[in-house]
Amino acid sequence: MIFLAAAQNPFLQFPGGAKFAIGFLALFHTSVGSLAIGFAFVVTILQLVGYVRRDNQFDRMAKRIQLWHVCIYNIGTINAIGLVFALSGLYPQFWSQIFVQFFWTLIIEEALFFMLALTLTFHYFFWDDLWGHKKLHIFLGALLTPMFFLQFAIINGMSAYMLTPGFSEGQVSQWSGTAGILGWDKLAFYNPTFLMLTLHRAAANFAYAGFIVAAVCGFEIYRAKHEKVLSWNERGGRLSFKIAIISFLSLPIVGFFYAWVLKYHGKEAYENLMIGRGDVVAGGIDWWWVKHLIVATMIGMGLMFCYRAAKYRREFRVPMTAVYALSFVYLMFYVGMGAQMTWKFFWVSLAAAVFGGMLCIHLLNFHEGSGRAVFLLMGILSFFTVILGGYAREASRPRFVSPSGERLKGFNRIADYDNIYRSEERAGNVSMAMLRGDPDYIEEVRGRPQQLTIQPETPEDLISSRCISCHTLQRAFRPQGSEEKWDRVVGRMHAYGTRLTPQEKKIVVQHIWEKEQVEKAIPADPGGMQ
Amino acid sequence: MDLPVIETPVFPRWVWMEEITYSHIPIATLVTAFMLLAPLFEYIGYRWGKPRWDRLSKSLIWFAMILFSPGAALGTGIPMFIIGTYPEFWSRWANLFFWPLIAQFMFFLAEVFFLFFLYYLTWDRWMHRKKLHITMGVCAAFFGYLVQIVWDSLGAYMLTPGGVPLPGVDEPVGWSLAAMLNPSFPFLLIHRTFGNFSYAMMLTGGVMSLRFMGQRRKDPLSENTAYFKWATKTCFTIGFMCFFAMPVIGWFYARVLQEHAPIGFLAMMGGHVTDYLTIKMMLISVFLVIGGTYVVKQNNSKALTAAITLGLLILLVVILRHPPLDYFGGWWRPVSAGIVILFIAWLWLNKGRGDPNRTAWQYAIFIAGLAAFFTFCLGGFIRERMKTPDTVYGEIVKPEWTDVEADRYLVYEKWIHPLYKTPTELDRNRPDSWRVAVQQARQDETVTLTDTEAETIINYLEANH
Amino acid sequence: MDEKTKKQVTKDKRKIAAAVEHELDVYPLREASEDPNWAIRTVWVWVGIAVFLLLFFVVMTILGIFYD
Repeated sequence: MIFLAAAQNPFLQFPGGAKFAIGFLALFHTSVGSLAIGFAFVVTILQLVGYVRRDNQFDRMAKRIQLWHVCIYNIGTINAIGLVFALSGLYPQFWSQIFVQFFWTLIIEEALFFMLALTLTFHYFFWDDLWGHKKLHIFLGALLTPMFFLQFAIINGMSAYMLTPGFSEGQVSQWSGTAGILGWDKLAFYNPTFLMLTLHRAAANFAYAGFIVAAVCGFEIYRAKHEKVLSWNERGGRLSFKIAIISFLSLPIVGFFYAWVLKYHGKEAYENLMIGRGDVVAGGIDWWWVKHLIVATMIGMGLMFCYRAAKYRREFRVPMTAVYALSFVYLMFYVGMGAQMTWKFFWVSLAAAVFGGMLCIHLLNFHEGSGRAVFLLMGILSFFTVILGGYAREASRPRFVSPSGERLKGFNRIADYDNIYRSEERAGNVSMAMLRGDPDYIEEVRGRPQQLTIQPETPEDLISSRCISCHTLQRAFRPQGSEEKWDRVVGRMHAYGTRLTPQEKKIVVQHIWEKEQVEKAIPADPGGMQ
Repeated sequence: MDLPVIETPVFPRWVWMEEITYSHIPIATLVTAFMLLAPLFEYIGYRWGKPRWDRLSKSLIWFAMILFSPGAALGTGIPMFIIGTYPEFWSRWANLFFWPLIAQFMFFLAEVFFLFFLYYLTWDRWMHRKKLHITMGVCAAFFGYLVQIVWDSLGAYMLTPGGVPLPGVDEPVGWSLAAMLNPSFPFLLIHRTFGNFSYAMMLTGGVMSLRFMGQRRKDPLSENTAYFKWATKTCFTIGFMCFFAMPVIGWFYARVLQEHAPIGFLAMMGGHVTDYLTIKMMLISVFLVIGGTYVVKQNNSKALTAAITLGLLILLVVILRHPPLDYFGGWWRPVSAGIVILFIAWLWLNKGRGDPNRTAWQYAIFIAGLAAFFTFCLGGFIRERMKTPDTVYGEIVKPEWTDVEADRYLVYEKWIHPLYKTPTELDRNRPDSWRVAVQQARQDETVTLTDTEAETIINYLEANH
Repeated sequence: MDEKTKKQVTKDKRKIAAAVEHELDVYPLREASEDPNWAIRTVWVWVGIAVFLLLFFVVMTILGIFYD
């Protein structure tokens, strides 16, 4: 009975599908984890403002946020472990292998996880005990931000690697890394988009948390019956909104460079995002577009809010020069996207921004200058941008589905890499032809400096040194059935970032195909000594 | 499986594994015990109209809240470490228990939700809606206990798989009722439930005694001083009384292990883990003597003293039916009985006498609390060590097994188990020549050994006994 | 909820609101000696450990750029 299920199902199945399970858990975790990271930053700013002005309104607000932080930290932690368990069961090969490459970074991340929990606990629960040592208390809270940043950077190393493996030479099977440290892969961790993803998400987290804090303040303003509480929430909301809007305005700068790197190191992902293919378009909707329409709306609202705050000299106004300059950068960003995608996208985005601005003005007027409604709306929209950003990044990776849409063995998830979705314009050629072509360094086979460089002298050497960045050799020799299929497989690997010149690609395909034919000709040994 | 096994610096893998696990388990067990007891205390305070019980309940939950985040963070470290350092074990075990692991994740979420948002944060706001508040506490405790049930089931499987094989790496079983309801699961669960109550409350009593001393120094007549004095007595007494369930449950637990994990049982009863068990028994004696004396002095109650007497007599029965103690010779039975009866008399003599609120007693209670804590720590340690070099008993061996461990396992399995009751008999009844003894046993067909096995066993016995 | 409980709950809410409002007015800095020693000691010890570990991990991360 135990193995009856195993006999019928080659993989563990999850209701709704494994992709849904992982996606849901990952997004649940991200929405909570990102909030926690941003909260730490917002709390420190609030405490500093409160200390400088000797105004307990900000310190009390910081304490309230830190209480939420304590509550959601555990939810984020538990989600993370649920994600780990789900990945272990639903994507065992992937999870086991990536763990080998990132083991030590994940252990450091775990240590940081614990340090953060303890720091957070001390910071909140000793709040009232440390009024005689306020600077120490603020410093304790401020420690959270660099700790979170480092932890976050580490997990982004792995996340970015999944999209842009880059020049990784994770020598898992044979050489245990060139310094003999199994569980650490320098080039996998410091992959092409690691830095961009970290910076982009860091700013996004600060923005997201700031907007959520402002949204909760907005909600409390609606509920407040007393003038003091009303004023407290309005001021706290405005300060949080300011933090959020400054972070938000920095996003397109990093985002642009992120997309730039993706263009060369994650070509298929870039194409999926810009042209809208694969899972980026799900249910007929391009979710990448939706995210940017929401962002455009937020720019319009943010711009008008800052304008009104500056005009009426409200507390915590943002310098309008900076706002206008960065809004202009945003505009150029959208122009660029329009040029890549369609101009329709640009005009609709512009309309969304104008609509957002007009809505903001109306809401401010309706509430006699109070930002409550704007805070609420921006908080909600910000949540969706975080979710959609993460979703789009994951969904832009090439998907492994049958081209005809048929299910294999009755299941819609394929564990091995036999098939990949290819859009019509790229039929027959997996590698995307860029208008300006790839930069030179992509084609050049680069050895690792000051390291033992394996000089491939034979085809076996070549395969052993290049084909184990992301998987073991066992997969590299799995029978495909024809030379054309091998050509497609190796081409796909090249698209993923494996470094092969066209000549080397030919050698690899020829050798593997010959080897497969030889092995097919040898009868199986009945004694089992294979 | 073609995945490499990652080596760790400084210490071998199993040491790091132990340390990471030990960082999490005391916190988790404390939190679970507090969550189970707090609603009960709150209810008592509500029904009897005694605010001290409410204050005690709130302080338990407040402490659980402080511990929760670091404890959860440490808990995530355990699977992360295992996945990298024991990849094959993890893959196979997570295959077998996939759905229970997902379920415990959902229970955990529910536990956090009830504990944080509906129990802790609403304490003052729902001051006059006690029934609702207590219900939320019960819900939080319920889900917390469900988490413990899942992990105890998975942990018990590692010692008594009960005939359910560990599936292959690519055999996605998902879930198995037989594996979850493995032979030692109910015993481990009940043993750890009462064990958690016992050690958590004794340790809390010990900590409260220090707070009592501090408050008494500041203001001997304040309500705080009276409260901490009461809390010390109450917590310690509850923890002490909960202990008496343990020997009974433990005896049945050991019987199940004897049947379903005989090699592990031999390791514990006279084998390589015996010393730890002996230390554990000594620690139990420490808190029994200190704690028993304190409890009868503090609570001048015939009923309580009678209950302790009954508990000690049951403990005596368990001791008398404890075969490995035959190693000491026949005299230990009357001596044990004498010691226990003398102790019972001592307790009756001390009932209500003397001043248990003296400073010396507060330190003594703290020491007793620590002894209870280390007793608990040793329990898990023994359970894990007794099945070395297996990770899952009889199913998968740990990658860093040594020759000594492998040889010892062979000796337990093929020499001691068929012929002796306990490994201590090897030294007590040592023959002149192990080689001759082994060869004779093979001839008599009392053991079935290959030549290699026989040679290994002879070498091990000659080297170690 | 009965009437009596409802009134009690409203009274409690008012009390909590009044306490919050009072808190907002005062920035309650005090003398360092008024803080409990055990809390100060715990925080200083932890800050020391945390800063050390943080620097250690940062150095490891930077060294990782050069070594494999």
